[in-house]
Parts: sequence; C-alpha cells; structure tokens
Amino acid sequence: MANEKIFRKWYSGMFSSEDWWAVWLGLAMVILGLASLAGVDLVGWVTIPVNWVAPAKGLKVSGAAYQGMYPLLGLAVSYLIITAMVTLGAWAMKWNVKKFILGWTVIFIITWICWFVGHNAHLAAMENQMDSFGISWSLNMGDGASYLMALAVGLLIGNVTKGLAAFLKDAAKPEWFIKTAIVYLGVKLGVKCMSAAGFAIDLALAGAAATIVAYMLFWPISYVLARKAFKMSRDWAACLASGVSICGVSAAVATGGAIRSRTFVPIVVSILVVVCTIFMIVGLPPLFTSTLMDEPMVAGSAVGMTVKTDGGDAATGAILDDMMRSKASQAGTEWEEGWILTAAVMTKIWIDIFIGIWAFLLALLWVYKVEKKPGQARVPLSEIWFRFPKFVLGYLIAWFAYVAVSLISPDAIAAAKIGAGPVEHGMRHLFFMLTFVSIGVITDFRKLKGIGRPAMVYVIMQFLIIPPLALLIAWIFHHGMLPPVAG
Amino acid sequence: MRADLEMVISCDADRWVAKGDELVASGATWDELEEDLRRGLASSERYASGTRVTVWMGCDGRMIPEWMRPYQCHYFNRVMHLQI
Repeated sequence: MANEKIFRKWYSGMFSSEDWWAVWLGLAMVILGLASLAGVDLVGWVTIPVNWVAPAKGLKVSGAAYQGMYPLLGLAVSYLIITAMVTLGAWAMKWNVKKFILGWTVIFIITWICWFVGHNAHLAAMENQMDSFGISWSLNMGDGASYLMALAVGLLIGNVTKGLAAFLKDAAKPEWFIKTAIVYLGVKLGVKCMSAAGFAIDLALAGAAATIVAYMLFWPISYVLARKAFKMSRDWAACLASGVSICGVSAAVATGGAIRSRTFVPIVVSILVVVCTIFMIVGLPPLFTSTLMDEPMVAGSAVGMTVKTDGGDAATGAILDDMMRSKASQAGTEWEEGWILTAAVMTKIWIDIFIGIWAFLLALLWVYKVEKKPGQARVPLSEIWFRFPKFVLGYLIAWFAYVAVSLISPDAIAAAKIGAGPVEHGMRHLFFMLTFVSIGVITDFRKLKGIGRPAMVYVIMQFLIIPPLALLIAWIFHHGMLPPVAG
Repeated sequence: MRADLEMVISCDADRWVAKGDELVASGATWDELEEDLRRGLASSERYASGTRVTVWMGCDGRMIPEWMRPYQCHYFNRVMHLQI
C-alpha cells in the first residue's frame, strides 16, 4: 500500500494534510506571540497596510519594538518568514515546492497590492477617521474594500486568464489559508475574552444551540425536497442535503463516505457548493447590512449557517463585520471590530465539529437501516475523529491560551497583548486576504455546465429556503446581543 | 481489530475495485464486490470452507480530487466479515 493515501491511524495526516498544517502554522505564531510574556517581541515584524492618502504612509511594522525598521524592509521580512513557514508545510505535504513558491509569491504580491490599494482612505476610512486624513468623502468600507478587491481580482484570474489560474493552482489554497486565519482568530477571541468573557461565552453557547437546531431542520427538509420533489436517489439526496444544509464540501465528502456513495456524487455537490459560495460572499453582507442593523449578531450567526465553506463563511463574515461597523459608525456608534465575524465563524466551527458526529450517525443509519445486512459491515467510532476538523484544535488552543493568561496572571495581560496584536490582526488579515484571492482563482463558473437536477435542488435550498430559516434560528438564539462598544 | 486480509479500495466510473494480498475483486455494487471477493477467496483456497474472514478495506484518498482533499482527506474505511 505504498502510494495510496489511506487514513488508518488516529494520527494519519498529521504532517501531510492542510487541516493539520493550519494548526501548526497557527500555533507556531501563537507560541512566538506568547514570548512577549517574557518581554521578547518575536512577532512585531509583521507588516500591515494602514489607511493612507499618501502611499508612502500606507505601510506599518506592527510591533513597537520594530518601529525602527523601514516598512518596506518589514514587508520583505514578513514575506521571507511567512514564505518559509508555508513552504515547510508544502514540502511536508509533498507538493511541488518549486511550483508552490513561484505561485505563492505571485499570490502574495497580488494579495498585497489589493490589500494596500484597499486601504486608500477614500475607500476604507470610517466616518470618524475622515478628518484625520483631511478628506471630505469616503466609502467607509474598512477592510471590506481590500477583501472585495481581492475576490474580484481572484475571480478575474480564475475565469478570464486561465493560463495564470493554472500556474497559480499549486499555491491557491483557500481552505488552508482560512483555517490558519481562523487559528489566529482564536487569539483575537482570547484577547477579547480578557475584557468581555461573558459575552464570548454567551456567543459560543448560542452558536452551539443554533447549530443543533439548524441540523435538525435543514437536513431533513433538503433530503425530502430532493427525494420527493426531484425524485433523486438516496445517495444523491443525502449528499445534497449535507452539502447545502451543513457545511458544504466537507459535509458532502463526509456524507458520501458515510453512506459509501461513489465519489462522483460528492464531487458534483462540491462543485455546486464552491461556485454558489461566491454569490453568498457578494450578496449577503449588503443585504444584511441594509436590513439587520438592529441585530448584528443575528446577521453574523445567520452567515455562519448560510454560507457553506469555512473560507466563504469567514470571508462573508469579515465583509459583513466591516460593513455593519461602518454603518453603525455613521450613526455614531463604534462597535468593537471582529465580534460579528466571530459570530459567523463560531457558528460555522460548531457546524464543522458536528460533521463527524453527523457522518457517524448517517453511517449507522445506512448500515443498519437503509442497506441492512447484518454481520456484513460495521461502523468504527474512529470515523468521528477522522471527520473532526483539526484546525478547530488550533483555534481552541489559541483562544484558551490567552484566556489562561488572563486568569492565571492578570498583570501579564498588557504584555500578552503585545505579542497577540501582530498575530490576531496582521497575520489574520493577511491570511484572510490570501483566502479571498485564492477562492477567486479556484472558482470556475463553467464547472456548473451540465449539472442539471442537482443544481436545481441546491439552488432552491441555498437561495430560497436556507437563508430565511437560518435568520429565524439565528434570531431565536442571538437576538438582542450587540457587539461591545469600542474604547 | 485484527483483520485476516487488508485491501485497498478505489472507485472508477462504474465499479468499486478492491486490491490486496494478490487479490483483485470488483463490482458495480457492494453486494457484487463482496460476492466477487468471496469467490476469489474461495478459489484461492487460502481459507477453509466455512471460515469467517474479516476484511479491512482502506479507502484510497486519491479517489477524492486533489482540490477537495483539504475539506476532507478521508473518505471511508470498511470492515467486512465474509463467510467462505
């Protein structure tokens, strides 16, 4: 069995899968960040764009200890260190390292151009920042401008310049980038918990409850629709139901595996998931911003239940976070950054965690009911672990590490924040941006051609049935929750 | 769990294919695959008639296209008990 990729042991894939490498990349930076507790800033070199009118003032090295570093040098250092980290992962996963570095470098440059241009004050500055830049108008988009620009450029590459898309394919890894970013988001949540622990716990519990209700409603409705209205077979109906109602590609593959479906079924469902996600990223933030300003956390949670990939969810949540905060800012309220995004991601993480359990239950149902053959096959409990999204471990470790600091040594909070900042802000935003570009690069709308009936079921569920139900469930569990006010 | 026989399972457009220990079995459905494997084991004469053979089938992750593997590397592993 030398060349096959078989998951046999509990630790299979620990050094060969993107899921695990998101944990390693994430935790490496978390550990470096925590060195600030000992008075050493090992992450302050992370360089970020800041809102600018004059381009020369648009770059900043994050750490106070690195303020003597010229920003362009900081950017070069950031490129070299981050490139070394991701290349190590690419090498361990046995990718073509040369192709990866070339593709990665181009994606890094495209990402940075979008990130930098998107921070032009006329695009990004909030209402209360305009005077400090001496400008009379701004689109008030915050980071949303960079995100949308990155997505647009990625889509352009993926759908128009096919040769470039093929060249970048080896390094365009949206799931890896977003899972890594979510580990960094764990640091942000940990820091937030230092001042708003109660709110974070309420949010986590509400997300868990909403997720369970969503599973109970979305899946059966989707399955029955596919079976009764569209006369689809059991394996098609089950994979479509999981893809559209739970967590997209992950759930479709997990369900396909659980019911022993041939692989073309989850493959087709996954194509539908990936392509439809783009419409969600673009459509939901303006829709919710124009209709749900009184319930921002409901909007965030509804995004988590509606958008079907981790990357798409975090992308939509990030844009929504910026749009809603911008609109609130115009009305005179400054919400803390990241809570609406956290609602979206936390709901999605609960959904991810439950995929394993759901796949296990489906496998039991199929083996013992649907295709009952006593004594012929059994379902090992290890399936739950195989399906468990490992990056969640990184997210939880990062989160709890900072909670532990605040509980064990409250006096060390200020020192911890020095190392947390560049990770939870600079690295997280960079990996979000990389995700946006990469999602665009790998999304090819032409893949939808020829997928008739499954596409009908998917589109009806994804655009007509899931969003209102998700909003209802999110409202039940999150209504009345508002992000803490900044400052 | 100890298996008497370990195989790798893959899927082409129409059929499941299980390979291992110099045996190859295939079938459009799981029933057909199991029957083909049972026949193969019986004709190989490596197990006495009436023996209950436990077969562990590890799913080759390459069945999943590379772009989908980040979402789930693992498809499934299967344990079967065959009466020869």
